[in-house]
Formats: sequence, structure tokens, C-alpha cells
Amino acid sequence: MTVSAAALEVRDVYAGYGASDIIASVTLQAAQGRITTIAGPNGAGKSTLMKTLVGLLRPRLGQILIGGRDITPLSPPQRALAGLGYVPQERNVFKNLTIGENLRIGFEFIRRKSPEKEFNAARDRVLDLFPDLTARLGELAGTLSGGQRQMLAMGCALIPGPTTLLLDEPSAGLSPRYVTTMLDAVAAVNRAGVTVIMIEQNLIEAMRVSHDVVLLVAGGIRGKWGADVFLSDPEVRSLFLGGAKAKSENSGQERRSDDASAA
Amino acid sequence: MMQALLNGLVSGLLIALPAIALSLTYGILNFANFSIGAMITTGAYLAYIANTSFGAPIVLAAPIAAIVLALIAIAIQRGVYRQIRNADHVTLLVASMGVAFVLENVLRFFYGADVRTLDVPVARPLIWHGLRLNHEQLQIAVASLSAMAAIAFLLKRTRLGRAMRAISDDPDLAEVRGIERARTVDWTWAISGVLTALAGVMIALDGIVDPLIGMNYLVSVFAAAVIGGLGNPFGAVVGALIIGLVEETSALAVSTTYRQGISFVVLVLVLLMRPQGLFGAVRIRR
Repeated sequence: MTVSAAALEVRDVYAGYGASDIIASVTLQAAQGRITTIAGPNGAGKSTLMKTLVGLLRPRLGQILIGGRDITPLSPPQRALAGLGYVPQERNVFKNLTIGENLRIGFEFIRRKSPEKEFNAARDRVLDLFPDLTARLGELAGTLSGGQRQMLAMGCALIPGPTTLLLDEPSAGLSPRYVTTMLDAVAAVNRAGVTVIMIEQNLIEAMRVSHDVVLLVAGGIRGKWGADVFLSDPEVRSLFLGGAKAKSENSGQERRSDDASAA
Repeated sequence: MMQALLNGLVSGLLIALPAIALSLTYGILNFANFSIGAMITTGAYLAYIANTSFGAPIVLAAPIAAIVLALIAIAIQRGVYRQIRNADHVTLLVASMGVAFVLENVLRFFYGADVRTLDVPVARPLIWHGLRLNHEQLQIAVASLSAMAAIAFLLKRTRLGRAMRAISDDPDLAEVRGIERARTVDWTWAISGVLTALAGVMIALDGIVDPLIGMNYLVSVFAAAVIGGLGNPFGAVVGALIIGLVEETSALAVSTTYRQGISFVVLVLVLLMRPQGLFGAVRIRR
């Protein structure tokens, strides 16, 4: 692994709802041009961390930096302008607006000064990535299936050309075919130079495209791994697969991948 | 009967403007603006002031009233609603009642409860196949239809319109997509001010100016917006036409004193059959 600058850096962040912190003393760095997956069991605070990064939740303490710039005081629209793209897990499209309008909204408030020509070019790039959407631009986004919504949401986040993309479980609730399509798209976006930070429960599929993994447990960072070694680490195995004993009881690769997916 | 239908249509077009305004602010701020009646009254008085104190003809007094009320609406948003924006919608509703009392009583303080009229030339009504259409009614129809066309264009074809619909659909996602909520909310109030001021001017044209003219329309406006499916400005237009037609045709059978009661009956009947309003289901919530 080569040493590269951190595209996104979190320094000692505490955040939560009301009086109690859900994530505490979280420090992590996502390297420029790589895919970093945030893994962790349910309730670990992954979505809270994501909301804090996007700006929908204000950290009680700590700093968030993009490319070395402190964005902690910025509102969500200002962070979007600073190059941060975000795909929420649910409620990720404007359901009562058309697919075409959703894409336009993804572009026009971040690239305010760009001419129509650039929007058309950006939209064509997104439609190349998700051709299913092409024929349905005039339909309401609420008529799309879960998988198609996820694609539209990803397209809306990509269309203004973010430098860093945050994905909250891009494969959640998708059929196996869409999981592969979606994660392939994530890899393609990353190859085009976009730094990706994603939460993913479907670890086996996620490891196929990720470079780095950060483990979040009970609101705190437990460590950082290369994606190639993450699932074979004993600590990780015990966390997600219920320990070595469970592994010997549940023989067979298929069963284990089910467990990891469900973790 | 035909005359009642024509009157109802015009009356519906008049109600449609504040009903659209109510729907827009409901969609974006998620509370029903009870001060819409007082805003109508304020619009009428602003036109009255421009018309009689400054001698502006009505074609000039109406836009002046619209602009001034838009600015007042933004000021109220910043001074009142933004201060309590995290409160629940009942608190905001009660706050808007407070705004209504303040607006009305400021007008009473300066102008008393006297009945006033705008200084406009009297014109002969148009007669066509026995149907009578006042000049005022014609002005109402033209102004209202133009305003509706402008609103439709704004919502469907402009960046501001898309921002408003996006916030109405999902405020958090709208912010993430780069939409500045506070600015869009200000614009929504400005548009709401313009629409209600126009309605106020038209009511004044057709009759009188007094501190209660807006309140008299409050029930009809709410009924129209709710029948159309609150938060859906296009539904509000249909709701307004229904209310206008029912109120005017009912006058053939029962005293006009019961006009607001008729609005309530229609409202209750529609809600019994479709609790989400006529066009509430068009919006996808899941």
C-alpha cells in the first residue's frame, strides 16, 4: 500500500442524538482515490457516522476534513458544493419528481454556473452507467423499484462530479443481480478517480471492490485492514461469524457467506 | 342557474390563489398557515393605501400591494417561524394564529373598523346571452388565471420551483443535493404573499375593504386546499373551483349566510370519502 493523502479525515469526532453520543472519539482517514468500507454490526453507529460526515448531524466534538480543509462548520449544501456526494440508504430519491428532474436537481444546485451542455454531458455519463433509467426519464421516481431507486440515487450523487462519494449501504435490499451491478458501478466510479467511503453489510461482495476496511463497533473504531485480509482476521471472524466454533459447526462456503451478508 | 355557475367559477378562481399559497407553505414547512386570512386582508389594505393615499391606479396598486406583502411575509418568516422552526407543527400553527391577530389589529389600529372602498371607476357589466359578467369578475378571472399559469411554470420549469418541490418531498435529501433551505423558504413566503395580496385586491375590487374580509374567506380557502390534498398546489385549484361552484349554486337554495357552512359540508363529505383529499394519493409517500 502506497502512502497517499487523506481525501476525507475524521478527527476525534463525538456525535449522537440528544444528550448521549452514539459515536465517540472516532478518528479515521479515507485515502485519496481508494474505496474505504466502514464495516460493523447493527447498531455500531455506521449511519450516525455517515450523517455526521454529510452534515445532517452536527458533531458535538471533533473535526471533519476534506482534502485537508476543515468542513465541520459547513451545512450539508455547502459540503455538497465542496465536492462531497452522498447516497442515503433510504429516502434517497425525490419520489414525486420525475427521474429526469431528480438528475437535474442533482446537478443544478451544485454546478450553478454550468451551462446546459455540461448537464447533458454529465447526464449521458450517468445514463451510460445505469442504462435502465434512460427510457424512464419522464416517470416519477417513486414508481421505480428499490434497485432502480438506488441507481438513480447514485446517479444523482455522481452527476455534479463529486471528488468524494459517501454511500450508505449501496446494496441494501437489492436482488443479487443488482448487488453486483451496483458494486461494479462503485468500482467504475472509483477508477474514474472518485474517492469512495461506503457502509456495507454485504461484506463478501464489498470486499471484492474495496481497498481498505475500517471496523466500527459500539460507536468506536476497532481498527483498519486491507480488504484482502479483513475477512480472514480472527477478531473480525469472531465478530461477524459468532466465533471459530460457529465456523466449524456451519460448514460450507455458502452458509458462511450468508452469515457475513446478514451481519 | 348558468349565472350561478359563472359566479361560482369566478369565485373559485379567486379562492384558488390563497389556496395555492396555503398548499405551497404547507408542503415546504409542514404546517397550515392560519394567518392566510389576515394576509388577504393586509393585501387589500396595502392596495387601498396605494390607491387612495398615494393615488395609484389599481393596475399599479395591485403589484405594489403584492410586493409589499411578499416582503412582510419574508419578515414574518424570519422573525417568527424561523425562530421556532424545530417546534412541532401545532406550535407553528398556533404561532400563525398569533401572526393573524397581530396583522389584523395593526390594521384596526391605523384604520379602525370602518368599511372602505377602493377608488376605481364604475364600469357597465358585460352581458352575453343573458349572462352578466362584472368588470371586476373579468379582472378576477384574468388575474387569477395568469397567476396560476405563472405558478405552474415556476413549479415545473424553474430551478426555484424544483427546489420547492424537492424540499416538499424530502427536506434532508434536498439539503444534501445542495439546496439552501432557508433561501427557498423565503421565496416560498414571498410567492405566498404575492398570491394572497392579489386575492385581497380582487376581493376589495368586488366589494369592500374592512379588517375581516380575509377572515370571511378563511374557511373556503382551507376547505379548497384540503379538498385538493394539502401540499398539492394543483389540487388546490380544483378544490377552489369546487368550493366556488358549490357556494354560489347553493345560494339558489339556501341563504348566502350559510355559505361557509356549505364549504364545511363539502369538506367533510370529501374527507369522509377520501381522507387524503382528492389528489392526495397522487403523491407517493412510501
